[in-house]
Amino acid sequence: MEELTELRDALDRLHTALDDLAMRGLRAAGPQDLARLTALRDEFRAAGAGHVAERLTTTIDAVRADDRSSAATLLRAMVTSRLFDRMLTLEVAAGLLAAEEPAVADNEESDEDEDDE
Amino acid sequence: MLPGAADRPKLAAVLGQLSSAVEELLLSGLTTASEATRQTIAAAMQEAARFRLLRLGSALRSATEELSRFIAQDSAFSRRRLTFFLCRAWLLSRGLSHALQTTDEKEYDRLTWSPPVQPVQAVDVVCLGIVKRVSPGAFVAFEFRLRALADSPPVQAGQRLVWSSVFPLKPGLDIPAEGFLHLPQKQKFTTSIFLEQKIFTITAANLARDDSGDRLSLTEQSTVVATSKFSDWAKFFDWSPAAAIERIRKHTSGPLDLDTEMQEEIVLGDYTIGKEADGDSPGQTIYPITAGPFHFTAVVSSAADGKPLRAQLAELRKLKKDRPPLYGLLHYERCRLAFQPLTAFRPEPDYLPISKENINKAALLKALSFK
Repeated sequence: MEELTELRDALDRLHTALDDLAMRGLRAAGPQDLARLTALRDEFRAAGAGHVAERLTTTIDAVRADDRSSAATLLRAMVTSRLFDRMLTLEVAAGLLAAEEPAVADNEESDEDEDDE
Repeated sequence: MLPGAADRPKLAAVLGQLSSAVEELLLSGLTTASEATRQTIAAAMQEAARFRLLRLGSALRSATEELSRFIAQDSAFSRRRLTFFLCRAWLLSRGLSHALQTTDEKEYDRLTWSPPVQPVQAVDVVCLGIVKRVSPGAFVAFEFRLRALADSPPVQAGQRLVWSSVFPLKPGLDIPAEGFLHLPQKQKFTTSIFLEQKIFTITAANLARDDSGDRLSLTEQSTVVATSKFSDWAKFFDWSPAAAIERIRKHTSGPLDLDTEMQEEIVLGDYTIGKEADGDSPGQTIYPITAGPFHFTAVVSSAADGKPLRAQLAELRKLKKDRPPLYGLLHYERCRLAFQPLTAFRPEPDYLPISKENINKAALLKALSFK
């Protein structure tokens, strides 16, 4: 559960970082933006999401080289991160829907016992 | 079906211009978007409509709406939504260009999203819920969630059906969304009849299969007539989490998936509604709803169009017991179960997003310059 929360948080930060780049423009991207993307890339690589990390590497390289193709690489990174998000969301949703009715809590039983007494 | 050979170069050029425009916008920054940018996308949208590129047209329409909000410095502007739809439009334009170049008809059809249409002679339906969407200065849309009462091939008894009605909204026009329900349709009925809790007979319609519900569309010859009162609403309170899980398991995710695409119509019996809070995006209010072991997040517009639903949820929240069955749409978003409450059955359906305030029809028609 903790791993899932961390991954969810990392995905939110990734979406925000990519949206920030799109809003401000890739030509205006500076060392701070690249450091942020690099840290996220490493985080996703460590989490086993190699495909997302690979897309981020390509984007970072293209932005660093001031390559016109950086826009397309950013868009591909967005597509990949959203697809990953979707797959994770559906996996989690299936788990949430499979939740069983919780058993009656022990303390509630105790309260009833006390009432009986 | 691929467009005719004569049309292909024109379409390829439009798609190329569109993907280049999106890339240029990302290079220079979306803050450089202007009225001219919006017009470029609007022009591509017209071409998309001409070539019946429904998916691309829909993505461009949403991007244009968001750009309009950005240009107008509207507080409801969502950069997440803008980048999402620009990205989607870019992906579709690149994919369609590739399908044209390689004359890949199957891929072209998948990307244009042209579900097969079947005629429906006549079908009796009831309305379980109404989705209301308002995009200021752009449109008001209502989506009627219907249920077929009897077999009427190709429709089967109990089948979930959706019929939508969209009304363009002129910038600066400030009238309640519900007013549009009282405007006459081409087929000589007003959509407000769907509020009457009756059985409706729809004739000469078309049916298209869609991931978010089988969609009915009306033709010039269609009729929609309210008949008798309906009371057996409880027969539709049949949600099964197992079926929803099965649908998720069978689904193959793709880059064109929308969060709202895998919708389930569900009914909550025993539930509690928690305190409202700010949503993830600007202009959203969220309510935690718990039903048995399930925790849902209900998202409601914080703007005027969400006022009736917010008031209804506040009233339901106060009830200590005997809460009415709550019907709505479930979808999956950000690893959560997102719920859109639509109807409280008391026991007649109370369509929660629809305001009960009276509409001054004369003032409405005057505002819309109807003669």
